[in-house]
Amino acid sequence: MLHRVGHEGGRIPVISIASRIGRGRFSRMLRNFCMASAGCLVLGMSAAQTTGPNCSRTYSLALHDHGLLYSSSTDTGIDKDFSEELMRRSGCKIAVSLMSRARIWQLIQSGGLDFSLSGIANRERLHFASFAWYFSNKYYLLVRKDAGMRQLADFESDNGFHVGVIRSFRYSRSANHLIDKLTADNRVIQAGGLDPLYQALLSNRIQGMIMEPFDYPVVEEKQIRDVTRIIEFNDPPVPHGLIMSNKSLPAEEREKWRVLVETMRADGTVRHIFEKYFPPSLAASMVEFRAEP
Amino acid sequence: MKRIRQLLLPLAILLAGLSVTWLAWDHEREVSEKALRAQFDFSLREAVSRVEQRVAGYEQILRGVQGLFAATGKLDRTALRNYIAPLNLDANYSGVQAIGAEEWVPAADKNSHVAAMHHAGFTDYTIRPAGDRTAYAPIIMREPYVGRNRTSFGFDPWSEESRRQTMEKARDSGMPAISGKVMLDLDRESSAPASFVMYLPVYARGLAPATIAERRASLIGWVHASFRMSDVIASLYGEQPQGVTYAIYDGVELSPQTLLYRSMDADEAPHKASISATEYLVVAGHNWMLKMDAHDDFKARFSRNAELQTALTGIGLSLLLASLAWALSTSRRRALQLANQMTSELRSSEEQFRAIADSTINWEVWWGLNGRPRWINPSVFEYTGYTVEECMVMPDLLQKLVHPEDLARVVPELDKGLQGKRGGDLEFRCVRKDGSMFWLSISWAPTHDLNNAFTGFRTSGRDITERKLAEAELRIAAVAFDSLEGMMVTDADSKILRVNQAFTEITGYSPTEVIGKTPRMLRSDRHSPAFHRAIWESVRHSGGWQGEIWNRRKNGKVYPEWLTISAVKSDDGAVTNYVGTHHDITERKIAEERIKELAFFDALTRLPNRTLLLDRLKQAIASSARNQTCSALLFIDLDHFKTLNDTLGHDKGDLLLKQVAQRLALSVRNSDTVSRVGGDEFVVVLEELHQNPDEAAIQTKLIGEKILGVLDSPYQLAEVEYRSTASVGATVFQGRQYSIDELLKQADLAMYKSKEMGRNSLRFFDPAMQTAVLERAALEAGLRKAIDAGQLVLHYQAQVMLDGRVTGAEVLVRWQDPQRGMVPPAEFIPLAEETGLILALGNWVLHTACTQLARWAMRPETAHLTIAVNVSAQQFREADFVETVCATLTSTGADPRRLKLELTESLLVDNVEDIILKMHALQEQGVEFSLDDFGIGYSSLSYLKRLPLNQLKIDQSFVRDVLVDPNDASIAKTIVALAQSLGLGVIAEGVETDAQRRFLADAGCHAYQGYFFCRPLPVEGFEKYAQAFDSIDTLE
Repeated sequence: MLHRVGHEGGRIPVISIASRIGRGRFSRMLRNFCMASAGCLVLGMSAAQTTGPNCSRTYSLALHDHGLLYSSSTDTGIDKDFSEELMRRSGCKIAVSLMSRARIWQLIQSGGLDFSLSGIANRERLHFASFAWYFSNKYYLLVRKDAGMRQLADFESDNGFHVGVIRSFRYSRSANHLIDKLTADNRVIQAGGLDPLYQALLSNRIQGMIMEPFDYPVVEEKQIRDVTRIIEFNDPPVPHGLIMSNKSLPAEEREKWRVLVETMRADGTVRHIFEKYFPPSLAASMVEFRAEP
Repeated sequence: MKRIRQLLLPLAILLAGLSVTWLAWDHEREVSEKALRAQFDFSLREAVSRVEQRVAGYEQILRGVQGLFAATGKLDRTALRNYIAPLNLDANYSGVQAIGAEEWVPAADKNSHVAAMHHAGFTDYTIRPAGDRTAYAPIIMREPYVGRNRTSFGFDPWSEESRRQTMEKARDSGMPAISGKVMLDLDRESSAPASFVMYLPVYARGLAPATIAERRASLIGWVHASFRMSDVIASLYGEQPQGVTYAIYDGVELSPQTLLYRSMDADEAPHKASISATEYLVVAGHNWMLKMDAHDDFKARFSRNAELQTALTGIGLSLLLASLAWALSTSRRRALQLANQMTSELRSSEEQFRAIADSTINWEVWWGLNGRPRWINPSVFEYTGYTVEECMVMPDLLQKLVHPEDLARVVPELDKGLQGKRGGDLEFRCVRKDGSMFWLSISWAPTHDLNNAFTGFRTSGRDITERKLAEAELRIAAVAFDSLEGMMVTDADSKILRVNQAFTEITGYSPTEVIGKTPRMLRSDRHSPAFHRAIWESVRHSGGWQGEIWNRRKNGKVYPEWLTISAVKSDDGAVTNYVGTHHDITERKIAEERIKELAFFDALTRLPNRTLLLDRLKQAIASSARNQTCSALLFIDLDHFKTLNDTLGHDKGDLLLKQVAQRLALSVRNSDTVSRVGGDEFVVVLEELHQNPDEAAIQTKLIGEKILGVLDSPYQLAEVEYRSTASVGATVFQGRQYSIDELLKQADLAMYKSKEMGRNSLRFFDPAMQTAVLERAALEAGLRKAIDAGQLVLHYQAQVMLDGRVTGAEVLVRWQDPQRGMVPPAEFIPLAEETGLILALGNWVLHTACTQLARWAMRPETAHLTIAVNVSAQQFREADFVETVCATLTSTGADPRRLKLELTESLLVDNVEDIILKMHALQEQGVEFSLDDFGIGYSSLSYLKRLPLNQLKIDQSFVRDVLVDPNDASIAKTIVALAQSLGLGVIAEGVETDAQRRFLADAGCHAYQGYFFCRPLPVEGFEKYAQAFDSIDTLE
């Protein structure tokens, strides 16, 4: 049974999407298998782990402002905690900065950035990045009540329905399909961050936006919650993980970092971090996922 | 239908092509759109990226400044100046209007702050807006200190709401924060450009506050950079992107108030943007909205613009393919059309002639220089039965159509046409497809093309068959006119127009004498006017008349002619001429007379023949009955006429008859009729005799004897003088006593009687004669029956030799009639000879004799016996006589050598050769011949030498008187000697006495037959005699 992997990354030309899917699946399977075997090895080796990542240099890690994952105004978030944990565990110096998500992907690809967090993989991204999953979640469509939409199919058909996304974001399969379709119809407004999207949603410039669980706090604000409804995408949860640049990090280093992440998951550190922000059940559901997607 | 089918394929191709084109166009359009969109998105992303990076760049500047102040912990103006100056803000960081700092002045520190400022040299420094607030954050420095930046310090952004919020945000987060759209303090004009300010907090030296509270506590001020949006954007691009306009709005609302920047083209952009997009930027925690519109320029620049080309190409190709397919499918038709067009152009000059030629009934042929027909008009079919197509493919048209006999004449003439000469009136025969013939008259002329070059010649022909026929008929008529019949042509008024040579010959009139006159001049008086009128009535009524007419010749002679008059009518039925043909039928009339004569007259004697006789006789009877006068019928038979014929010849016989006829004709009166009814029989009818039969008889007798006397005179038959007599039989009748047949019979009988009485006499019919005739007839019938009924019986008269030994017998037939008794042979033999019964009789005799021979042959004592059979001349003359005898011998099984046939001398009169042949034939079989009655007939001694005889029989007349008459004795002796010398056997007949026998024996005749020895006996008697004689012989 194939586990669908959402696509996150740059805008993909529509023409070539068909060819990509097939290729993606095969390489994905291959990759998954490799990762599974590697993971097993790692798990086996985790107990006897003696060497950690090479800390000879300062690594760069970029965060992006995205709800509970990280809020620049409060300088807090799951990802920030996670990055600090990484620093602590690895013993390496990691310089954390704030960037737009788009820029993060650009620099990961070019090798100008070593790490980022909570990224989802797709075929294109797998060319230049490696991942170490630490949580998964479903995607939702936050939609205005007065848009009159009840099902996902309605959004596609209604020409007046505009949706807002963050530049370079990819989501789960159905969400991607919806976004791609609406993009083709010129009904997608991009943004550099969530805040303008909320504003736009409130002012009915857009009627919907994709959201994830860590957007809840903002969404829970009365203003937004009153005028909106959440519709779940009928896709399985998408794993998110540590993004490692293939260009800047050699494979064995990446493996070490992945082991590190696995350790953090295994010993409940990740869950602990999540529980700081989410209700325990939700945290559990996000953190507990099948190891290999 | 074909046209539709022809259309189908191109149509299908067109549809397919158009479909593909549409698909390609649609695809191209999509791709183009997507490419354009992608290009647009790229532009958008690029713009966003540039803005973000620029702002990030600005952040770095401020951080530098922040670091500068944080390092000293003081907001040092000089340090700022020194820091800013080398940055070369204008060039490197255009867009930055000014970089400055605000000092955090809580209310309590206000006065000291102002005093410090005054102290620093800014004497008129005040915090603006004036007033007491809880805190102040006045601008205390601004670099580069040029231009507007020299506006006095002291403006307190903390007093302005949006700035304040921004400053608070920056203070609390420690991160740069951007304000919304503001009007810079240094811009005092109302139409200041849109600007924003970025603030970065400066905390007390050495402190890195981590919480909000710490940050607030350690705040000493801010550094800020102020930007004019237009300058910022201007610094982003070296040149404006083509075809896109964009606007940046503060926040997420699109309104004139929030507009930060609009690219210049947007002012004059009334036309709708083709692509537009909006993106929200988050710069330093602040939301901007970038709205980008692509216009036609953009589309023109980046659009692939290929869809139109694709569509056009596709449509073009489809049309091309479709038209190609259409062209291919109709190529043939079009090729034909083209060919037709070409040929029609080629023949344009001939079309005029053709139009005329086609409509003519003439047969037109256009010949090419190669002597072959180039074109033939459709009339050829009516003329010849061949269609145009058939004619065109003929290898040699002339040879096929022109009559072979005329071909040699026609070809050279047409060759002249090939040389460019004109010609005409060439008449010749043509042969149609069905073999029939017609006459054609052609004329020909050369033909030229548009450039007057000689291209051949054309012939135009007319059917002149009728004319030729008419000519032929005229010739025939002309010839016919000169026939042997006299012909006369008159006009409708019967005026003679023309006569032929024969006319002149018959009538004696020359043409000049009759032309202009009417046929009336030929009329004779023989016919009544009514007759002539009737003729003309018939001509007028039925167009002609035919018949016999007596006309008058020029010399006055009237002659009979057979005249035919025909009326000649013109086509409309009116009579134009009369044609009369006649021929002289004088000769015919004479011939008719002759025929009539022949029908009724004997050719030789010119006397009435039997037919006319009967007619005359009938008239005589009728006249006799009418007038009660008697008439007589005389049968005159020339005596011995047959002998004359045989001896002197038929021509003499004819002469005799003619002379007899003449004499007879002279001997009777005019009212009497002399006729010839047979070979030598004449019949005379005497009419208007006395009414008294006896007197009439006397008259008849006188006339009859006169006739006898006349006929008795000698005749001069050419060189021969001849005397002939006649036997006349007469019968007198009155009225219708007897029928014609009876009368004839009576006269005939009388004539026979006359013959019997000695000839040369006249006998009247006696009823008693009838009886004799009847009796004779009865006898004849009886004889006929007798032959079949076996009433005949053979008697055998022994023929003995020497001493009386019986050598054989002569058979004599006897008739044992039950009624009459034994009829003597003298009675029935002549009758048999006359009636021809002798043949049957003779055959019966022969058969019976042979049968007896066969019987005798079986007994040794009789086996040697011969039988002599009398053969009549009639019998012998039969053509199959030999075969009959042989057949009889074979069927009976008799030995031919025992058979003797006795011939009489009368047989030898005629056709001896035939007789000799037959005798030889039978002699070869072994049959012997003896000549009976030798010496008394016409026997010529030369016959004896020629005929293959075996024996001579001395006639009994000689034998009877052999002792008495020395002549007979001599003769008998001579006969014997003759026989002996010729090597023939001899037998004497009628030996009645022994003395006779002895005499004969002395003479040398040793065979005898007669009563002395034996009378004719039936076979039993004979056999007895034969045996007795033998026995007696032995006894002696």
